[in-house]
Amino acid sequence: MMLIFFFNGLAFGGLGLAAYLQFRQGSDLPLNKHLRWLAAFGFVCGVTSWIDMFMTGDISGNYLQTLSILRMVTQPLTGLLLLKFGWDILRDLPLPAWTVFIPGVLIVPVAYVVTYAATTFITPSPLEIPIDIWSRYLLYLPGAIMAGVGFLRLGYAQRKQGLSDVANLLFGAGVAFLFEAFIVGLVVPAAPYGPTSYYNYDRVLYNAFSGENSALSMFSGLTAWLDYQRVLAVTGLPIQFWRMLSAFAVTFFVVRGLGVFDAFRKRQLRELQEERDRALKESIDTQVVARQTAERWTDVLININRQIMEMEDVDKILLYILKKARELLQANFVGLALLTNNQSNLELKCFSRQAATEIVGSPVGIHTPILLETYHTARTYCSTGQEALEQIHNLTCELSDQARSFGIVRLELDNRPIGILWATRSDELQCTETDMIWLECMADQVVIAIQHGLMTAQLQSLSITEERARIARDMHDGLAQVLGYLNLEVQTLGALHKQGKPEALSLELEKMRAAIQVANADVRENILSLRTTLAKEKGLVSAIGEYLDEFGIQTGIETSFSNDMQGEINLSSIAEVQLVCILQEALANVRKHAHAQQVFVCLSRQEEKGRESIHLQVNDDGIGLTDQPSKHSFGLKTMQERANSVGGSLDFNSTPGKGMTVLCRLPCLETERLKKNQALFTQEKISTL
Amino acid sequence: MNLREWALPVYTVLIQMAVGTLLLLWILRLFGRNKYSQEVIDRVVRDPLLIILVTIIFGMLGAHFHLSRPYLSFLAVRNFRTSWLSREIVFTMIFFLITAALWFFQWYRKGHWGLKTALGWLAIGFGFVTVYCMGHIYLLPTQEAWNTPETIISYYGSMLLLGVMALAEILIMDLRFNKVRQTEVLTEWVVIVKEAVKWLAVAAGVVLIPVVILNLAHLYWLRTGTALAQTSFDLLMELYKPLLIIRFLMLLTGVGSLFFPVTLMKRSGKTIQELFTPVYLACLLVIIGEVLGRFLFYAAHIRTGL
Repeated sequence: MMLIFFFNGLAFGGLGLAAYLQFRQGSDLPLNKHLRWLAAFGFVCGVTSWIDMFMTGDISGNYLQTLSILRMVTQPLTGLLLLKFGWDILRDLPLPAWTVFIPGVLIVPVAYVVTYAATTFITPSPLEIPIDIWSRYLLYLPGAIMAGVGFLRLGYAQRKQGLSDVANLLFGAGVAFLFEAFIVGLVVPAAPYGPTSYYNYDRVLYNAFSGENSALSMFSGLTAWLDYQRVLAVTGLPIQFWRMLSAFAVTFFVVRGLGVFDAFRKRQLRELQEERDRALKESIDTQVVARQTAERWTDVLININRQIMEMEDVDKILLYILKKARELLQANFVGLALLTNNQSNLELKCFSRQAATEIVGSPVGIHTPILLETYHTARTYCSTGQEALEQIHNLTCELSDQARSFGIVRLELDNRPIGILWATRSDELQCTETDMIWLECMADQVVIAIQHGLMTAQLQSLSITEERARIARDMHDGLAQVLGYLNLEVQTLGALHKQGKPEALSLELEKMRAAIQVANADVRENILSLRTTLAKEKGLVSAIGEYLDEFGIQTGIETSFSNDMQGEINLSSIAEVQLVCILQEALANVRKHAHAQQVFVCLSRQEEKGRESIHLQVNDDGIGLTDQPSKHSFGLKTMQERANSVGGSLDFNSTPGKGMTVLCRLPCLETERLKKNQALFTQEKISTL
Repeated sequence: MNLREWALPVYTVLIQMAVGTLLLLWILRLFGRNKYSQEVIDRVVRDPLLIILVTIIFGMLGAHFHLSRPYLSFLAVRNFRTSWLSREIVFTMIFFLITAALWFFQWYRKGHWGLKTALGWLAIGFGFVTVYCMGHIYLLPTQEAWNTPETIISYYGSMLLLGVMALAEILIMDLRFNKVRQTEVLTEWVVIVKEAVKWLAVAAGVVLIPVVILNLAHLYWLRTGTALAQTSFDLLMELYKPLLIIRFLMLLTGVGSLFFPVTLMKRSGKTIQELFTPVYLACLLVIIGEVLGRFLFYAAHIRTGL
């Protein structure tokens, strides 16, 4: 018997130790915080068993009495600790709503049992007997049942999460605790009061239901197992042995079942890893989408800028902007309204919808309150879904479905509002902050296009004026002079004719013919220059080639043209015009002043300090520059001014009698820098997203 | 007391508790209607009525364990004219049937408000008669310790005390149940329960005083009574003294567990649902005290003659 108690105590002590160590280790699993009660239960239960062991031995009366008193304390304490552990573990997982009523249902039975237990203490039996019995019935039994059910529920939960091994161990722990409830909580020492007395001699159930009917005597047979003596008689082993086995079973399954913490940690790690992978994938996907979106937007922006630089028609650019904005914002309608000429109203300028992107033919006034409000008060407005219907009435100008979400951006030129750009959606997709950023970006492009259009118109006007001045100057310097000279010559001819000097008359006529030839050459050159400058559609290089051919035919000067460039000339439109003008001026100088037989024109691309430039070199084999200032040097000055106006330079080199070289350098558009800017812009947009 | 005899307190305590609970529930319904919406009051009353009905059923079933042949219990009604036991059984049956009808109307939302009111008061009336018969059974000339009007009055006292405690616990438990079940608990419902439990806590304190006084008066009467009465007194003061003390402690602690947490609810900052544990404990302690009282009632009697 001593060995049985020893092993029983050892088993519970082991249980307590394992539970305590796991509790110290800590875990997020709710079970962990209840393990302190299980540990305390194990230790106290172990102590109780070893008290029993010592009491079984041959010890003196005083020690026996002390141990007996100690046992009267530890025995109910084990029950209390188990009750606490069982109650906590049972509530770990959410209980069904109806379990709220369980305490209510049990209140009367519990009250009766407690009352009944209290009355048994006044019976003449030793105090330790009712303490032993009632601590088992009232504390250990419900505690073990709750712990058993709690472990079963825990096992079920683990099985649902796919941890079958741990689940089986937890099921085992649950069953072991239920067995413990039966063997420790229900099988109690014999006493002269119920319910333990049922098993021996009281026949309440028997009397009530079977009475004298022997056929119903089964009730007496069912309870016989709950008696120490009957357990011994039937199994041949004392109840303490079975309790020891139960203790080992509980300890084994609970200690093994504590592996749930490892499984939980592994699962947590796995979940964290999965979550990290998922987050990483989502991040990459988002980045890819953002990059793609940004690239699409960047392409559109580049195209818009290219169109603006190429001075395409503003209306065409605006239509392109609206169409692309609608496509990229997944909008069903994008509208652009501009201030009317009299600065009083907003009128729809153009719109884009699924069916078409058009410039509005007849004026369509904007009266939608939300549009006017945004125009007057705010830079942007993003719909919230809370707008009143009258606020967004006719937001799509009856050109598309009713808007359910929308974004509006005011167009500003020199800090003055000039119109609005808005996009609407008819689906549930709400406008985001990113959408608004892009819409603002498009609004800026609209403003740039409009501004550029205005500037181009002004520039064209200036160019025309300048060209007229040049033609006037040329006419004044050339044709007018010749005509004036011819007028004098005609007068001279008249005088000579009256005087009857035929030789002198003939000589003057010769001079007149020479002057007319010069004037004719000037006029032809001017016509050629005008034609070349205006003929941009041919391309600069071919225009220069044609011009040189024509020049050679007209002047009789042998021309040769060398184009050392590859690819696009990559000059701004204005620089191209200036380049042609400089070439014309240089060739005019050659014709007028150089007395050259040959002229050589070379076009090349050079790179200096990372910057590309176009070099135009004009060489002739004429007389070169003389020291005296002349019209020639005036022409050189004009050429220098033209080169400087577009950020370039012009140098000339001449040795008297050995011809002259004019070298013009005009800077290319910065393609690399442009690319870098585009890349940076893309990155910024990605980070914004 | 033999274990089988414990079936007697099961019946008396449960029926008294049912009558007391129904009485207080109907008072709540009566006053609640003037202050709150009829719909919410109906909802508040519905579940407690079911619990009262189940309590009566368990009480009646419990009584059968006391009988030698439970299946012949119906024969007890034959002596209605002469036996208080028969009358007790008959009135218990009537009380049960009326309460069942009331529950039916309330649960299935049938019947007019007035009809249910009348049925409720009728059930309470029969409940009172049942408790009277219950007490009158023990007014036996051969049992000096019992043969006093105090027996019947103390039964009514127990009825009220148990009713107060049980209703407080049922109202909070029902509220909690509906919260757990995520039923839409109306704000008005919470207010009603809060108000009702406050009044019940006060009522518990008020009822406890006469109950204790009555018990002390009975003890005094036994001590100054005949030799048999004095023998009963000696039993209570010697063998059963610990139980007598426990009974009084249970009653006082139980009522205190309801009274103080509820009246100090505002200061503690707890909601009415959070008071479930103290109110439950209060109810449990008072039931234990009452069952112990019933045990002492049976244990202290000394019979004279046959």
